[in-house]
Amino acid sequence: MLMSEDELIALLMDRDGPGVFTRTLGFGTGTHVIKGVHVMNDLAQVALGGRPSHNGDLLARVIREEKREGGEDNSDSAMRTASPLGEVYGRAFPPPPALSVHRRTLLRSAIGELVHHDGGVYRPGTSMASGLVTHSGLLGAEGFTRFGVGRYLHDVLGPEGQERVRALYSSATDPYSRALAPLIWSAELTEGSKRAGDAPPPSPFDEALGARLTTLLTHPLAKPHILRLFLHVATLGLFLKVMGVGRAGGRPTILATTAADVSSSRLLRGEATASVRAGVAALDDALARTLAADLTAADRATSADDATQLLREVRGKRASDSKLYLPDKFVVALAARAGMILPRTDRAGWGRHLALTSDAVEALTLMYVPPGARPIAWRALWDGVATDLGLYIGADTYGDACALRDAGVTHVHAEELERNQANILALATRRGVARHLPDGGAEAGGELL
Amino acid sequence: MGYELLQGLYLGATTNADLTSEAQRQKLHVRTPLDALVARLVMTRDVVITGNPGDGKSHLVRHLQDRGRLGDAEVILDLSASDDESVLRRWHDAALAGRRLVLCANEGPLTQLLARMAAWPTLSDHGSELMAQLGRLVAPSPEELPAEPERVYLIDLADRELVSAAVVTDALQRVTKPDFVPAADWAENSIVHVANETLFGDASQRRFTRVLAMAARRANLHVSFRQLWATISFAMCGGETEAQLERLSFAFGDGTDQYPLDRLTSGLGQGALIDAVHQHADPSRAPWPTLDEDIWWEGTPSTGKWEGEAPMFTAPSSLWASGQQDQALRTFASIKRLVALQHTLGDELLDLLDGDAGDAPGQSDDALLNELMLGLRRLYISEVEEAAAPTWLREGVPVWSSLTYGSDAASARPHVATNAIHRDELRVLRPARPAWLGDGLGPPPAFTWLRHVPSGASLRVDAELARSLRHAARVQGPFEPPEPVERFLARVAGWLERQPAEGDARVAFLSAPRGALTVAAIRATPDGARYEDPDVDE
Repeated sequence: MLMSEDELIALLMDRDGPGVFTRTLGFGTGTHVIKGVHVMNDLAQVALGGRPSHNGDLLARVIREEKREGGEDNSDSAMRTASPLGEVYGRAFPPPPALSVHRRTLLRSAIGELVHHDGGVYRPGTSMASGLVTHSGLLGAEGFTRFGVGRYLHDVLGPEGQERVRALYSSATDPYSRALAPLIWSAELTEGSKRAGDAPPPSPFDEALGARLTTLLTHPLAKPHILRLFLHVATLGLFLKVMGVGRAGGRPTILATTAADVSSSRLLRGEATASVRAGVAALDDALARTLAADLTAADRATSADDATQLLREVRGKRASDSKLYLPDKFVVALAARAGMILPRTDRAGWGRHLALTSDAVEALTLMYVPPGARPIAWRALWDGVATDLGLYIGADTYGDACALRDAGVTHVHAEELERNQANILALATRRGVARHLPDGGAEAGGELL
Repeated sequence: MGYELLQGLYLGATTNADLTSEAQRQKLHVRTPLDALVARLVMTRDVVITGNPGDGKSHLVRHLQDRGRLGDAEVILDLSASDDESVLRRWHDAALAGRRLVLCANEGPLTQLLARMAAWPTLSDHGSELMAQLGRLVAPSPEELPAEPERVYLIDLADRELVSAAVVTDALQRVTKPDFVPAADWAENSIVHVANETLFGDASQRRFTRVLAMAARRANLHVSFRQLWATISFAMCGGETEAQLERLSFAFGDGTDQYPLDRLTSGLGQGALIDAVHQHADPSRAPWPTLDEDIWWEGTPSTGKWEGEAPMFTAPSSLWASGQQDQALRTFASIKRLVALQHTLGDELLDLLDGDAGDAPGQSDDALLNELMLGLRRLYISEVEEAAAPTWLREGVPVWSSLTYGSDAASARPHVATNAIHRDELRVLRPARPAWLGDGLGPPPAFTWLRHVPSGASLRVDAELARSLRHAARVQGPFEPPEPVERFLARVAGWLERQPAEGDARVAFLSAPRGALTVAAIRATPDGARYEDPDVDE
C-alpha cells in the first residue's frame, strides 16, 4: 500500500478539512447509521437558519418519563421545576383536574410513540433529538448536521423550494403540529448547519433533482405525507447522486426493481445489481482521479491507477475492519432504511440493488405532474426520470436496455425489463397514482379519479 | 372447422377481425346495443371508436359494414396501420364530400393524431371535441361530463361492461352447439362434449356468467371480447387441439376434474379473466358445511336436484379411504364446482361465494355511505376502542395522518388525528355516462366514488376496496389500511391544513391502526395551548 489506511482516510474524509468525498459530492459520508429523520431535521434547520436554542430538550424529556439513564429524571415533578422548560411543561400538562394524572401519563407515552417511532430521539444534551416533527418549535439538536446532507438538499432546491420547506416547518395547521401544539416551544435559532466544505458547482443532475423536488413540495397534501414522500425521493436522489459521480451530467444509469412483494427474477436482480456495480466503479475512478491530484499537489506524485488500487484495497476490507465510510455504503445504508435496497442483507455476497417503494413511485409521479395538471403518459414519466435522474425501470424497453448496456450492464433481457415496468405500474396503480389506458398504455398523476 | 374455430379463440387466433372471414364473424358475433348505437350515431356525426386491444373495435365495424349499416361512411379500421397524414387527408376529403367517417383507434395513436388535427382547418374543431371526450366519458356526476359534440362522437370500449348475462349467454349459445364438437365417436368422451352439455341450459349459462362477473369485479378487471372468448374457449376446450382432445378422451375417467369450471380454476390457463376466476371465483372455496358433508360422504348434495342427467361420482370419502387422497380432494372440488353450474343449489352456493366479496348491488347511496364510513373508521379504530372513543371519532371519519421516514407499513405506524370528516361532507357518486351513449356500453362500471365535497378529493371505491372496508368493519385484529385510503385522507388533511383553525382542538393518538387509542382536548389559553381531559359529553 502506498500509504497507511489512516493517511488515506485523512485525505478522503473530513479529518483536516473537506476531504475528497465531500469535495466530490458536496456532503460528507462518515457514518452508516444516519436515518431519514436525521436528514429531514438537518434540512429543516438549514432552511430555517438554525435549531431552536432549547435543542429539543422538552420533547426529549417529555417522552422519556420512565427513563433513568445517566441519572436523568423526567418525572412530572422534576419536569415542573426544571429550568427553563418547566414553565412550558407546566402549561402543556396542567395539574388535575384539567388533566388527570392517568391521561397525562398516557399522553406522554402516546407522544413518545409518535415522535420517536424512527428512533431519532435520545437523551437530552446528546445532540440526538431528531423527532418525527413538522414544526420548527419542535425541532431538536442533530449531530448528523456535520455531514451537510441537509445543506446539499437545501442547495439543490433553489429559492422556491427552500421557501416551501421554510413555510412547511413554520405552519402549525397540520395534524402533527396541532396534536403537539402544547409542546411547540418557539425559541431563537442557533448554530445553523455549517457547510461541510466548498460545495462543487451544481451538476445538471443536481439542478433537475432540485426542480423536481420543488414541484413535489407544491402538492396540497397533508404535511406529514408530503415530508415522507420528500424524504423517500430525496434519499433516492442521494443514492443516484453518488452513483452518478464521474458520469456525464452527474447522471448515473441505474436500473431499479420493485420493493413490493413480487418476486423479480434472478436475471433482473442481477442486471439491477450490475448497474449499481457499474456506478460504484465510475465513482471509484472519479474519486481516484481527485485523490491522485491531491497527492500530486502535496508532492506525493501518484497516478490515478495507483489511487484506484488504494481505494480497491480499502473497499475490499470488511466494514467492521475499516474506519473508511465510502459514499456508496453511506447512501445504500440510508436508502435501505427507506426500504429501497434489496436484498435487505448482503450475506450471500451477490450485491444489492435499488428497489422502488410505492412511496418513491408516488413521489416521482408528483415530481413530474404538478398539482392541477393533466396526467401524463406512463412512458413519458419514466422518460423524464431517466433523462433527469438516470433512473431506469424498463418503461422504454429497447431504449432502457441500450442505456444499460452502454453503462456497462451486460446481458440485459428485454422481457425482464418489460415485466419489471409492469410490476412497477401495478405498484403505482395500487397506490392510486397510475391507471391503465384503453390502448394498453397507462398514465400517471396525483389526482386521478 | 367448428372445433378449430372454438379452440382458436383461446389464444385469440380466431378473434382477430383481420384474420376472419365474414362467415366466421357472423358465427361469433354477439349482438349488443352497441351495434345499433354506432349505426345510429354515424347517421348524424363522425364516430371514433377506441378501446383496449381485443375489445372488438374492428370486428364491430367490419360486422356493421358486412350488414351495410354504415352507409357510405369512410371507414378506417385501424389508425395504427396508416400514417396520420393519410388518415387526416381521408377524413378531410370525407368531410368536404359530406360523408361520415368511422375510425377505429387505440388511444395512444389517437392522442398523437389529435395533436396534428389543429393544422387542418376542416378538422380542428373535430380534434377539440375528441379531446374534450377523451377519458371523460365516465364521470362522477353528469355535470362533469363533456357537452354533446356537434361533429364527432367518441366511443370508448374500455368503458363497456361486457360480462353481463345478455352478452355471455349469447356467446355461450353460439358455441354450445354440435357444430363445435368434433364429429367422431371418441368425441362423446371429450371435455368439449361435456362442456357443451354442462353449459347448454339457461340456468347454467346464467350461473357461469355470475362466476365470470364475480371474478372480473374482484380482480377489478376490464374484460375485452378477446378475453371473454378466450375464457369460454378454455372452459370448453382446455386449449387442446383436436388431436390432443382425441388422445385425452381415452383417459377420460369418471368425469370429475373435467368440467368447465375445473379448467378455469386449474391455474393452467392463460389470460387475465381466467386468472381472475382461478384466484377469486372458485365455487369450491365457498364454505357451506352441510353441502360439503353431503358431497364428501355421498358424492352429491342431499337436497335439491341436478338439472339434467344426474352425474355419477365416486364419493370423495371412498377415494380417501382407499388411499387416493389427492383424487378425493380433486373430486370433492370438482363436484362442488359442478353444483355451482348445474344444480338447483348452485345459486345459493354462488350467493355464498359472492357474499364473501361483500358486494351489494342495488344498495342505496345512504346505505353505502354508512357502510363506507364504518369501514373507514374501523380500518383504524377497533370496535373495542371505538366503544370508549369520543363522539367525533365514532360518528365521522377521522382524518388520520402518520409520519415515518422508515419503511414500516401503515399498519405499523402511529397515527394522529385532529379532525374528522362529517357525514354531510361526503357524497357517494356513481359513474355517469353521456346521454347520447344510451345503453350502448352496457351497465355503468361497478365502482363508486366517495367524495369529500369541500376539498374535492375522491376515493375510488372498486370491488376490492369495498371488500376491504366491509371486511374491516367485521373483523378484529391487525389490518393494513389500503394505500388509496391513506392517500385520500392525506388529500383531505392537506385541504384542512389550508383552512383557518384557531382556538380549541381535540386530538387522538393511535399507537398503530387498530392499536391503543389516547384522546385529549387541546385548550387554547393566553399563554399557549395545553392538554386537557376530553369534555365529559364526548
